[in-house]
Amino acid sequence: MERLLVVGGAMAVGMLLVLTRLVQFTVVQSEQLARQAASQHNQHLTFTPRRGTIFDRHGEPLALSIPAESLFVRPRKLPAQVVTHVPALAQAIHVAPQAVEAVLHAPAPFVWLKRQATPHEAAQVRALSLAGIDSFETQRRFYPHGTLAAQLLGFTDIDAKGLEGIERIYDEYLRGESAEIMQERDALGRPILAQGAELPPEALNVRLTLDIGLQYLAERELERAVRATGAKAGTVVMLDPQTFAVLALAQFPTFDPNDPKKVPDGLRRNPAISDPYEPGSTLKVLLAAAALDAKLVRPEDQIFCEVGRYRVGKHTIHDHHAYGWLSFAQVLQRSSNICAAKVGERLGKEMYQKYLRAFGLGQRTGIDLPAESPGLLAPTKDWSRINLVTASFGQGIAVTPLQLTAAYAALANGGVLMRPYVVQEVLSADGKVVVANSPQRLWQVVRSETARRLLEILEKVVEKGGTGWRARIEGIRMAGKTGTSQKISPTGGYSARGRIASFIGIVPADQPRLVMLVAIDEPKTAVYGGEVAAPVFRAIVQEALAQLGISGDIEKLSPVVSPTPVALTTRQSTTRHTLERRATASQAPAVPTGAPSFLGMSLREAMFTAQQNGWRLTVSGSGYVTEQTEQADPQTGEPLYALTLSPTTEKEP
Amino acid sequence: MRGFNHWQGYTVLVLVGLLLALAQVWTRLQVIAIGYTLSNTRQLVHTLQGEQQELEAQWSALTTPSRLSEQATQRLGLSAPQPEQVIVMQ
Repeated sequence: MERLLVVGGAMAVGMLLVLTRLVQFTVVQSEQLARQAASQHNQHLTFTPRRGTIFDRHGEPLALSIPAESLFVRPRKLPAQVVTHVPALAQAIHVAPQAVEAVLHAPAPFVWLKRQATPHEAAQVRALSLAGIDSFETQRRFYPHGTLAAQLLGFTDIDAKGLEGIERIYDEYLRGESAEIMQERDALGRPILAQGAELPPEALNVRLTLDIGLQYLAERELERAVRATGAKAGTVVMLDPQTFAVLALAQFPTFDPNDPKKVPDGLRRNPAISDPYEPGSTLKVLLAAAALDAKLVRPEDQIFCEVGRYRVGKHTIHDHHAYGWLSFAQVLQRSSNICAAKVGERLGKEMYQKYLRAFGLGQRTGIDLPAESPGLLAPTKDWSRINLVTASFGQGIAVTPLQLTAAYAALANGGVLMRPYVVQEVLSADGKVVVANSPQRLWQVVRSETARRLLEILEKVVEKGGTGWRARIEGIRMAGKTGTSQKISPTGGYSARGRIASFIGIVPADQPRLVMLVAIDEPKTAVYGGEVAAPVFRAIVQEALAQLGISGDIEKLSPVVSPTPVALTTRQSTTRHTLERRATASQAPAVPTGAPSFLGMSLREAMFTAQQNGWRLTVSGSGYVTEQTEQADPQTGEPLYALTLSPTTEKEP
Repeated sequence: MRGFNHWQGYTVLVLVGLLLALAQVWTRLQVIAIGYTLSNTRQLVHTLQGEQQELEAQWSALTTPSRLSEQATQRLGLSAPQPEQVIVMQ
């Protein structure tokens, strides 16, 4: 019995001790122990989303982030024989062996071996299995088109923070928000998503109004012109006058945003919006718009141009040619400074300034890009008579290329000024529109009738006898104005040799779809806008028309030598194929007598023939016309030709 | 309840308790196993998204207008059409 009591007592004491510990763990220390357990099992991660993509208006990526790894070294943890691996390490990360050795022997607990290494480089380093060398996942900003639209897009720093251009202005959207994610892990540190997977945050994407094809065209032609004329730099600004959306914004010289440190800071600026210049004769158009709108002149009014010399106080104004009497329209066509000055005097400084400010000069356009300059337009009270006179032909006023293009776009838009913009919308990762930038009407600058009449006058500038005839493309109605401005000398006054040659044009003049400024800074071979900038305008517009789907007046176009696309085949093979096609098509069902035959034609030939004769077509298939049927249009009753095209079986030589 | 004594009742209760405990352990193991699968799948998705981005970047670089233009003119002998050769389809 005694034994039983002893054993029972011992067990009771034991049970009491266990119960006491149980209470201690589950009640007294429960919170502390739960925290300790959680810290061992749970891991808090700061998840930074991959930076969003910048697209052009057609969805072509212009800037995107790709995976990268940052490799680091903890020199104190490196094995002794690490020196033997230096050549392999250097080869894996494409760095000089000396640089790798310096990192491995650095007197610091943590040193970067290579930041933003490619996943392939990181894998090669991992394959060496060296203790003390590790990596973590990061991202690298990549601009697949290199220098294309570099000043507009801007660039980011190594931590993916936007520093310039769109990258900077839309940084908040593109960077996205970092999120804290808690994740359970096992004893080996492997994550276990036992609580389910939290969706990692995603950054937003930005779609621009920019058209990659037009941007490329503008940059290509600008570079050619700058190199050919030995100029210092050049700018092209292209706007859609119906919305004021920026279609292209090109600069030369430019830089590669994949490696922005290679060039000086000045090259990374965006002169189209940041650097004002004296517009020269291109400003005469705004003067003319003001004078016409205020009904102070009519296009047919005669003005005496003082045979090349005009005295204003102690100053003398000159024209490049000695003109006598010119109509107001001819004043613009021949770009007379003296007659422009006389119109300016008739307008008066208050009214002229009122119009210039209404056109947006002397203030920022409000475009969604950083570092925009307001230009320079001195207050009316500071203008003397000579200031008014010189301002009439674009001296003493400074505008940015974008401001001036927007002012011309207002004329092309029936006299309505709008806010230029470059970002069309901000999109979520699944393509939903988060922020939409719609065209924003500002105000009516001049009456639509004034704008229309002015465009008619400006059409004469690009005709034979006008200063801008080199911009002309036969069959396309175009309006424009040349400008040649003197640059300010750093020592005061105007530079003896520094000129900016420019041309601004509107295409087509009757239904404007494109307003474009071309400015060439300090050309060496020639200095006039009509000689230097107008041909660049022509070269860009010539290809841009096809991209924009603008067709000219077919009657005025020069005849097509070979209706088949010369670009696709050589002349010999074209002839042979055409004959073979016609032979094949002759086996097709006969065409009713009196009806036109499209059989054997390519789509282009058929379209051309139909367009010339005013026939209407519907087409199906590709290749060459093998069948045609005539139907009546259900709505108008007019004949409608349905063409079926089939590819040729002949192989290209 | 003839023939159903206390001991039998306890036995059933213990067995039910045991079954419940086993079910609890089994479900917990399943949760852990699914957690691992989920974790691996998420990592795979992340890696594939990265690869997709990389391929998109390569595609864009290969189809950049300057490269296409160079290939078209130099390799294939193409040229840009003149305005009179362009017919816009309405």
